[in-house]
Amino acid sequence: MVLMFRSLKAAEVNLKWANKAAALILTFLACALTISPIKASNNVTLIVGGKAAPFEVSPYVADDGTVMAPVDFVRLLGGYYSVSGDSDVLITSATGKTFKQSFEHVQDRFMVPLLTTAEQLGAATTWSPSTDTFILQAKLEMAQVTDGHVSIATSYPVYYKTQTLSNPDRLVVDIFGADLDSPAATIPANCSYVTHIRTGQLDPQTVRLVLDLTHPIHFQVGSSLQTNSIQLALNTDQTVTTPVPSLSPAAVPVPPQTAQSTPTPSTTPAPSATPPGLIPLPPITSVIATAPPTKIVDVQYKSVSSNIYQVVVTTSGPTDSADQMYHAFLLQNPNRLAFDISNSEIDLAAQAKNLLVNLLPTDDNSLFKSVRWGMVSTPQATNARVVIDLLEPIVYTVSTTPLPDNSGVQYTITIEESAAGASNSIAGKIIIVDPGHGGKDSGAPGAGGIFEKNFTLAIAKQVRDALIAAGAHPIMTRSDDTFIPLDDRSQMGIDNHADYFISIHCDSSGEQNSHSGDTVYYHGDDATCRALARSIAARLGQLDISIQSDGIKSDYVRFPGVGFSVLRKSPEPAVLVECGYVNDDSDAKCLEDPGSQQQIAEGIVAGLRDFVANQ
Amino acid sequence: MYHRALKHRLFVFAALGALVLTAATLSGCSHSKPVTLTVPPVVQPFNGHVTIYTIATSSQQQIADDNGLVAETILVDPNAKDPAREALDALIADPNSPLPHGTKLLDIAIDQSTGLATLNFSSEFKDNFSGGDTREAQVLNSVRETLGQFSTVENVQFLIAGKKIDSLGGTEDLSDPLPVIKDTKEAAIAG
Repeated sequence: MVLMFRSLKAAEVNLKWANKAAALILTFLACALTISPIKASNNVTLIVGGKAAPFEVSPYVADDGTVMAPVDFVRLLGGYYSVSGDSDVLITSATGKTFKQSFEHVQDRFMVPLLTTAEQLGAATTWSPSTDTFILQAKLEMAQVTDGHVSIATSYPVYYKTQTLSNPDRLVVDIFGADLDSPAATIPANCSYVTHIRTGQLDPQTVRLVLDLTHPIHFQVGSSLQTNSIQLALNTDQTVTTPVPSLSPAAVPVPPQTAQSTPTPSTTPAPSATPPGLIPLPPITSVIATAPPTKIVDVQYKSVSSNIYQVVVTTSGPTDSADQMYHAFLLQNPNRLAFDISNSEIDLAAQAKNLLVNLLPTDDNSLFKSVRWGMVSTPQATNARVVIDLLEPIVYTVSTTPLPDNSGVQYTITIEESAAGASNSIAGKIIIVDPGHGGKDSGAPGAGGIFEKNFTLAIAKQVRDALIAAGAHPIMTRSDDTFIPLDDRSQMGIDNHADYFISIHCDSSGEQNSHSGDTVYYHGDDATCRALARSIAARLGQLDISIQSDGIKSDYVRFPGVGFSVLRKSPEPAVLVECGYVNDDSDAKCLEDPGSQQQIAEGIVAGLRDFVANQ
Repeated sequence: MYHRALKHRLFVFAALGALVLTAATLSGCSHSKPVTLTVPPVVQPFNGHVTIYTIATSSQQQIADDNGLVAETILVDPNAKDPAREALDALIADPNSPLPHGTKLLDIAIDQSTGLATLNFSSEFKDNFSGGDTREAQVLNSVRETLGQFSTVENVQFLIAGKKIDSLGGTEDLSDPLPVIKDTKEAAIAG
């Protein structure tokens, strides 16, 4: 049985398209009747995955009415880009489709038409002129049940959640940040234990698929938390007397945020009060305190794959409000995930003595190091809490499975490395990006009247964008051709409590073509900075560009006893990257190339990620 | 190294005249290379020999330091009252000097109690600077090393036309004094 949602689209009256048409008409009328409508719409909010996408240069409405956005947004749709010419970027979708898109330079960012680019990447688009909001959603493209295997395809990677429900028995898949792209439908399923597949738009940002079952079944999720191909394996050979918990991802598709206030570029709030895509976690106070006590009777963990783990908490007692009885949340210092069961007790006598030791994962990819539990009292109730001590930034989801005869509930907590996975432990970090020189300080002169300050700014902006994509909080010491005193640059790191400082420079030395290569400098004999420099240099050495890596050096080599000012005066780990020699013909040609600039920037960020991941 | 030193010696001779020539001839002794900072520091009287740090020529690359500077010992007026100034003037005048073209040392003041040497260069020091981070290091380090041979100097404050500047080339802060670079293997020159 296969549902091809695209095929239904043409035959139906799509209210959303009518809304879009109305929006376009309204936009047109607004443009015609207003003297400067463009200025009024200059700050466009882009919603992807249910939340406002952060950009340093905001999307805007161009003179011809086209909404332009930084090309970086393609990363949010699972794609990536590279600069392919003076006016084109080559964009690759999550499915490998490539296409070129022309761009405009705005503050040295590559701004591309949002609508056409997003549609090429498979996004459903909705424009709200009243709020200057542009919403992108993944399209549900296909769902099928074949030989006990459920496949659901979306146009780009999304987050999702699964759960089983009883009376009647159902398997539910909620897909966040998605658009049904067709009318709600109920399709008979040609399967012995799945009678129908039903689809609907649960809320503006969530598509729900319901598989109506003839009886309770096992299922296992075989896809990642974020994917454009959701895979479920159904198992009908067993009943749910000893249910296998669903591996049910539905993570929060946002990078971890630091508690302190940091400049989040051009971010405006999502139009809805509760950003869709987040796991709805009901407040614990909603639980009726007079409900019969629930007991945690079992805690187990298992490794599903190399980067996905599950902790399964089994309770005894009533199951009517299973979804309302738990509250899961992340805590910091140290990082841990807390899972509370309202008005409950712990009854783990049979295995309490050994659980902690037995639960310790031992493989290198472990996301947590231990699981423990205890009682927590609040004014409203006394709760049992399970704590998962984390080793890595994670995303998580909780699914509930009622046990037979209303005897209890099995809560499956699935944890996976956060969106950028192993490479994204810089998420939430504050990183000073320092383009060397600027304004009256031109730096070294290169060929053709291009100065060092131009190269450093271009590369630094690429570093900034790559950091944003990784969920970090970059702060530029300068974003244009402005002179910034050296002390002010390092002071920015101090004032913002920065985690890292990366200064971007190019060198020039001796006669033309006498020197070439890039070098990463660390301060003095600082071991931490040296390790960071080594990590970045290793990545730069892997780049497919003509500039050769010259490794790392102490800045005492340059300025004995003092080093570079920005490194000396930065209390946070800091490096200065000399990206090449502007008076070397080959290096200069590479430094001028936007594609090479992007590679260098991504190499720097990759090196930083490596370093942080190994801390 | 020998030929390079000889060349410089001749250059300095021409610049300083007969008195220097006589002194040089009379001295004829060991070249006291830059100097000091062992514990306790060894200090020897100024005898006219000073070391300056210039940009290595192509034939000197193998003996240059990491910034492409090479030490040259030359003879200046042994009766000069201000050996540090003599050395800096010689550095500026050297054809391979890293200091920007047209630079003049307007004033030099050494505070014996603090070891701070305040150098007041002409505006050409900043205006005519051109190059990258390496050249900036060459300029500043040549001055820091040249002053480092004098026992009384520990730090140097750069001024341009009497005023502090943020930086020469954008990588090293000059708003505060920088420590001089001392050769710990040699005796310092009293001065």
